Amino acid sequence: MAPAAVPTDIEKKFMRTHPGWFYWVRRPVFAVLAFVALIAYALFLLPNKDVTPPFWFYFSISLFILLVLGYSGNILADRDKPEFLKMTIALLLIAVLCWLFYRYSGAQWGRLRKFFFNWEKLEGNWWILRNGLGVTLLLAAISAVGSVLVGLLVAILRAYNSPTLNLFLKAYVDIFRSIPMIVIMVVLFFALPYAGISLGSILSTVVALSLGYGAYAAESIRAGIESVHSGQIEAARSLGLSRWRTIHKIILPQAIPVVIPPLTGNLVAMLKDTAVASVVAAPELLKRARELYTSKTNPTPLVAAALIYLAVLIPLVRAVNMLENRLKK
Amino acid sequence: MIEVVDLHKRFKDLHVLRGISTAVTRSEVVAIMGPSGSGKSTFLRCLNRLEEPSSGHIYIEGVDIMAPYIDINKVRTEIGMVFQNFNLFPHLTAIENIKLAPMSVRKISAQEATQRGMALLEKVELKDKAEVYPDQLSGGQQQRVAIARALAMQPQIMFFDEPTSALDPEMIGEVLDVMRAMAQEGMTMMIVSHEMGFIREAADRILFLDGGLIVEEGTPDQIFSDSKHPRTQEFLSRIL
Repeated sequence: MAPAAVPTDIEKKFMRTHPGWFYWVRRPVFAVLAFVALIAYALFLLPNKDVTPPFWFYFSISLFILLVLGYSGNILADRDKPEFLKMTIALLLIAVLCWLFYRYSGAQWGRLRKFFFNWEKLEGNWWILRNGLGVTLLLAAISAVGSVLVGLLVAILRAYNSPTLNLFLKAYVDIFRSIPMIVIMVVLFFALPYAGISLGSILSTVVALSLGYGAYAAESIRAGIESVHSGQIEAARSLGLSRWRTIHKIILPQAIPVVIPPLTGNLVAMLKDTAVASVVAAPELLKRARELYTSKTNPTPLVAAALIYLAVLIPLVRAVNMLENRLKK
Repeated sequence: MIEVVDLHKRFKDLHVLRGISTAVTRSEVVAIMGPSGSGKSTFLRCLNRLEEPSSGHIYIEGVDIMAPYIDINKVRTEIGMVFQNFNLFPHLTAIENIKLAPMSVRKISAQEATQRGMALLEKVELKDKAEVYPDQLSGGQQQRVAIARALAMQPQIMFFDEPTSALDPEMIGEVLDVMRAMAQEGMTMMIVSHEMGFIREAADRILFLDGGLIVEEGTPDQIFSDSKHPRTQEFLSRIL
C-alpha cells in the first residue's frame, strides 16, 4: 500500500500524492487499535444519564457517534478489506446505534410491549383487519385495470399526433400528475356532492386512483410506444397493414415488454396510495385499523396494519424486481 | 404499370421533389441514382404514399392512387418494399415475419402461409433459419428475409430503397443474387442503389435524379459511358 522505498522517475510521475496518514489509517493495525479505543470510550467516557452535567452529556455522546461513524466509514469504504469484516462492522454499527438509543432515549421500555405489541387487544378482531385488507386489494385491483385502460387510451390517442387532441391530453396528464392524490380524493368525495354528483367513498377512491395513476400510465405507455423504431411502422404499413393492425401486431408487442416494469412500479405505488382512501371513509385496511385504535385506545392495531402492508408489499416489490430483470434479457 | 405525373413533395420550406414524371412498364427494372439529398428515397416512398405527395398524380395499372376513394392499404399489398435497415419485426421469427401480412391482410390460413413462407425462404436460401429471430441473423440474411417477407404478399411491383447500403461488403453479393433472380423472373422493380455492377447488368433503365428532378434517363450503357448531363458526369466520375 505504501509507496516503494526508492521510486523510479516514472513511478514518481504516476504516484499518489495522498498525505502520509492516508496509508496509515488503511493498515489493519489501525483498524484493531481504533476498535479497542472505541470500546474503551464506550466503557469509560460515555456519560451516566442521571448525574452528568447536560453540556458534557451531549458533547460526549455526539463525539462517540461521530467517531463510530468515521471508523465504520473508514473500513466500509476500503476496497482492500475483506467483505466479512465489512459485514461485521456494519451489523456492529447498527447494534451500537440501537444500544445508544435504548440507553439514552428515555423511552419506557417496560411498557413497550403493552403499547405496541398488545396482541390480546386484537383477539376476536382480526377479521376486521382481514376485511380491511380485502377492500384494499379490491380497490387496488379495480383501479389498476382502470388506470391502465385510461393510460392506454390516452397514449394511443397521443400517437395520432393531432395538435388539438394533444393539447387536451397533455393538460389531463399534467393536471393529474400535479394534484396530490389525497386532494383528488377529497375533492371527488366532499366537493362533488355539492354539484349533485355523489360517488360514495369506494367509487371516489377508484375514480381518483384510476385518473391519477392513469396519467402516469399514459406517460409510461407513450414512452414504450415511442421506443418502437419508426422503420417498424413503415415496414408494417408498406405490407398493407392498416393503422390498427400495425398498432396491434407490431407496436404493442414491442412496446409491452418496455412498458411492463414502469406499470408494475405504478401498481405498487397505487396499492400504497389506497391507504389515502381512509380520509374519505373507504373501509380499507388503514381505516379499519384506526377504528380499532380508537375503540381499544391502544396503537397495536396500527402496528398490525403496518406489518400487514409490509407482508403484502415486500413480496410484490421483489416480484416486480424479478420481472424487470427477466424482461431485460 | 406505374405512371407518375408532375410529382411534388415539400417538407415545410424544403422542396424535395420538383415535378417528377415518368412511367414504368411491366417487368421493367428501373434503377434510381443520384447524389444524396437529390430526393431518390423520397420519390420511392411517395409512390406507395409512405410519404404523402404534396401534389401530382400516381397511376398504378391506370388507377389514380391519390384519389380519395382509394384504400391505400389495398394498393400497398401490391407493392413490396425493401428498406435500407431491413426493418424486420424483432419480436417475430423469420417465418413469422413472412407469415404476418399474408395471414392478417390476405386472410390466408396459417398452414398455407407457412407453406408459402417456407418456399420463399428456400428461394432466398434461408430455409434452416425459419425459426430464428432477426437479431441472430447477419445483415445479409436479414435483408434476404425482408425480401421474402415482401414477396409473401405476391406483389406486382417491388421497391428497393438502398437495399445494400447498410451491409458489410461480403454480404452485398448474396442480396444482389436474390434481386438478380427476381429480375430474371420478370418482376417489375424500382431500385434506389449505387451498385454500379449490378445496375449495369440487371437494370433496363436508369433515372438520374438531382435537386428533385429527373435530369437524365436512359439505359445503363447510355448513362455510364455516354452521359449528356454535367451533373450526371460529375456524380459518376466520383463514384467510379
